[in-house]
Amino acid sequence: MDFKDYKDVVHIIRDISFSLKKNHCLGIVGESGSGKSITCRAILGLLGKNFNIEGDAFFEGINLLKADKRRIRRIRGKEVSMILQNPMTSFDPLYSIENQMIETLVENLGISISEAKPLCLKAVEEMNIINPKVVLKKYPHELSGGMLQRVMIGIALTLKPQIIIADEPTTAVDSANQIKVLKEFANIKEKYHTSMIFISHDLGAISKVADDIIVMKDGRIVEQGTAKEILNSPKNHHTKYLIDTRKSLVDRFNYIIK
Amino acid sequence: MTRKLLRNKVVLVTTSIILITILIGAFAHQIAPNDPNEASIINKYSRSSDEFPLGTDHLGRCILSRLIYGIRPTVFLSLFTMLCTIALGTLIGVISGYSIGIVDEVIMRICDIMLSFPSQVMILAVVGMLGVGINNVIFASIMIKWAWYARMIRSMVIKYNNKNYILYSKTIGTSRSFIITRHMIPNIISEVIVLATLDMGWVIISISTLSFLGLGVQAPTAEWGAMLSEAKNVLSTNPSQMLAPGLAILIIVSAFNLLGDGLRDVLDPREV
Amino acid sequence: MTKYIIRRILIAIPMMLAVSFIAFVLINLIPADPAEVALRVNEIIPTDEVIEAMREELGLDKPYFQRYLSWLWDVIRLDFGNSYINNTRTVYGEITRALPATLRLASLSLIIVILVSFPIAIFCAVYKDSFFDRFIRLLIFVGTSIPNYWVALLLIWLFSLKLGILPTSGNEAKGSIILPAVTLSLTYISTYVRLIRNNMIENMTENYVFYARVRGLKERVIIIKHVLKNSLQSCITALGMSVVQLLSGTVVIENIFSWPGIGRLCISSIFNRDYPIIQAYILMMGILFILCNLIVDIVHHKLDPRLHGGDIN
Repeated sequence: MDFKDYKDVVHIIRDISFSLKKNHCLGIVGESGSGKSITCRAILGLLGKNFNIEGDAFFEGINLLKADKRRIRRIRGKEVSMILQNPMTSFDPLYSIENQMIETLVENLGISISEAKPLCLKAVEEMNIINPKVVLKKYPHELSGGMLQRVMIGIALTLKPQIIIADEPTTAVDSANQIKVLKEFANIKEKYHTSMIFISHDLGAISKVADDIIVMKDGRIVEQGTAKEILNSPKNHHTKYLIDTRKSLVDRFNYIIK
Repeated sequence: MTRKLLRNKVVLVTTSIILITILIGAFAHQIAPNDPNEASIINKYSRSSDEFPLGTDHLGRCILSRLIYGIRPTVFLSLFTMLCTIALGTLIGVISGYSIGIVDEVIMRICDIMLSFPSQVMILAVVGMLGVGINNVIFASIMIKWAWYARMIRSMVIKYNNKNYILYSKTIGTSRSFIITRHMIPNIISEVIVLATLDMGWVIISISTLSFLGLGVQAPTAEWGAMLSEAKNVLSTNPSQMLAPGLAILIIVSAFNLLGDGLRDVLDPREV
Repeated sequence: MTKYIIRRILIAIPMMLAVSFIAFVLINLIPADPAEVALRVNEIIPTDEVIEAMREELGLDKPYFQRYLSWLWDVIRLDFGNSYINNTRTVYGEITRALPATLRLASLSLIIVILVSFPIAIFCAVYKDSFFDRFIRLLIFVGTSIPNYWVALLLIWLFSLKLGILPTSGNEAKGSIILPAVTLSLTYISTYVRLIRNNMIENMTENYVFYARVRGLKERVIIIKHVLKNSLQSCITALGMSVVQLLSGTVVIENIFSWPGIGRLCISSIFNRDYPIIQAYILMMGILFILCNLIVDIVHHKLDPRLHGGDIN
C-alpha cells in the first residue's frame, strides 16, 4: 500500500508521501495545524469541494483520490474505518446509540437489522463497557466522552476493516480514560491484526502504539522512520523539540508526583 | 464604521432608493405633475402621455401623481409607526431591564400576553373595536409590535450589563450614566437599527394590506394599498392599473429588506 | 413525559384566561355604547328607555368582573350571543357556517406548502450555491418583499382573465380553491424554504454529519435521516406557529377571492360593527394560537431525547 498526495492552491499540505505496511501501526505526530488530520480526511474523500487535492493514494490497487464517490463510500467504513477526536459531538443526538450502530453495520456489512443487533451488543461488551444492554439504549448526551469513544472504537472494530485511522482519539478524554483508550488500541493491534494510522499531537501516546512514525510540521513531513529510530535518535530538530517538550513535561510530572 | 457602510454597495444603493423616495414624498406638491385627486371622467384610463406619464385611473386621476402622493401615507406612516414602536419598546424594555423583581416580572408577563396573539389577528381586533381608519391601524400596529422590541431590548440591557467591559468600567468606578451612554446605547442602537430596518418592510406591507382591505386609509386619499384595491375592481377591464402601485410596494419593501441585510453584514459580521 | 405534558397544560390555562380577558376587554373599549350600537345597526331609534332595556338584555348594567365571569361561562358552553346584524342568528352558528370553508382553504395550502417547500429546501441545502439554489434564494427574497394581495391580483389576471383556466372568485365553481390556496401558500413556502434550508446547511457542518460519512452511510440517508430530522427539530416551533398564521392569513385571501370563510366574515363584521362576531373571532384565534403552541412544545419535547433524558431507564 502506498499513500502519496500533495496539495495545492492554498498549499495546506505539500509533497507528502508515505506508506502503511500491513499489520503495522503508523503514528503521525505533529502540532495542531500541521496537516495530520487533513491528510487522512483527504485520503477518504471527506474534504469538501473547496479543497483541491492532487496526487495519488493507493489502497489495494484502487486510487482513492481518483475513484468515484460511490466506490470511496464503500471503502469508507467497511475497509477503512475512522475514529474521531470529539466523540461527544460525533453522534446524532436524536437517535440512540444502538440505532446508529445498527445503521452502520447494516450499511457496511450488508446484514439485516436482526443480525446486526447481537453484533452491537458484542462490540460494546468487548469494549469493557458495564451494562452493555442499557448503554445501547442510551442517547449520546447520556454517555460520557470516554464511553462514546469506546463505542466508536467498537463500531470500527466490528466492521473488521483493513485499516483503522484514529484521529486524536485521546484528546477529548480525561487522563484516566486516556490510558484505558490507549490500552484498547494496543489490544487492537494484538487481537485483530489490522493496520492502523494513529494521529496525535502527543508523542507519548504515539510511542505506546506506533511501529513507524511520521513527524509533520506546516504541511510537510520533516522526519519519518521506525518508532525506535525516531524516539531514540531523532535527526530533525523539530522532532527533537517535540521529544524534549514531552520529556520535560514528564519529568516535571514525575517530580511533582514524588 | 461610516466608511465601512459607504463601501457596501447594497447599503449605498438601497439607502439612496429610500432617501430619494422620502424626498419625492416630502416634495410631492412640487414634483407631482397633477393634482392626485382631480378626477376627470373624459380622461379615464388614458394611456401614458406628456400630461399623465403613467396614464390615468378609473376616475381619470393621474396615476403618477397618486403614486407620488401615496408615498406619504404608505412610507411616511410606516416610518412613523416604526419610530413610535421603537420608542415605546425601548422605554419599556430599558425600564424592565434595569428594574428587578416585580416591575420586570409584570412587564414581561404583559409582553407574553401581547405576543400570545398572532399579530394579524391583534391588528384586526384593535381596528375592529376602535373602528375603521388609518389612525387606528397605526395604533394597532404599535400595540402589537412594542412588546416584541421591549422584550428584545430588555434582554440586551441585561446582556450588556453583564459584559466584561461594562463590568470592568464598573470596577474602575466610571459613573453609571457614562456606562450607559458610552457603552450600552451604541451597542443597542446598532442592533435595533438592523432589526427595525428589516421590520420596516413588514410594517409597509401590513399597513398597505389593511388599506387594501379598506380598513386603513380611506378614499379618495392616494395610498398604494388602496390604489391596488381600486385596481382590483377594474381588474377584468383594465388589468394594467395594478402594475404601478404593486411595483412601488415591491421596490420599497425590497429596499428596506436588502438594507437590513446589508446593515447586519456590516454591523454584525459574525452572524452571517 | 406525562409530567411535562401536565405542567405544560397547566401553563396554557392561565394564558387562555388572559386571552379571553383581552377579548372581553376589547369589546368594552368601543368608543360607543354597545347597547346603542346594537340598536343602531338594527335601525331602532335609541331612546333612553330602549337603550336601558338593551343594556339590561346585554347584561351591561352589572359590574365589570361579574359580566366577565358570566360571559366566560357562556363562552365555555360555546354561547357567544347573537349577531348584532342578524338578531336571529347566533355567533356560534355564523362561525361554524364559515369555518369549514376556511379550514378547507388553509389545509390545502398547508399541504401545498409542505409538498413544495421540503423538496426545494433539501435540494437547495444539498446543492448550496448552485444555480438552482441562487435562483430559489432570489425567489424567496422577492417572496418576502411582495405583498400577497398583489400576487393574488397577478395570479387572477394570469390564470383567470388571460388564460381563462381558473375561476376568479367564490367557491362554487370547480377548481375555485386552487388560486386562493396557491396564493396563500406562496408566502409560507418562502418562509419554510428559507428556514429549513438555512437550518440544514448549519446542521451539515456539525460533527455528527462528518462521522456519519466516516461510517460510510449513504449521502441520502445522512441528509434525510440525520440532517433533515435535526433541522426540523430546531425549527419545529416556527413551523408549528405557521399553522395559525396560515389561518389568520386567510383574511386577506378570502376577501380577494370572495371565499366565504371566517376571514371574510371577520372583515365584514368589522365594517358592520358586529362586535360579538369580532370578539368570537379574536378569542378563537387566540385560543388556537395557544393550543398550537402547546402541541408544538409537546411534540418537540417528545421528539428530542435530550429533553426527556431521565425516563429511559
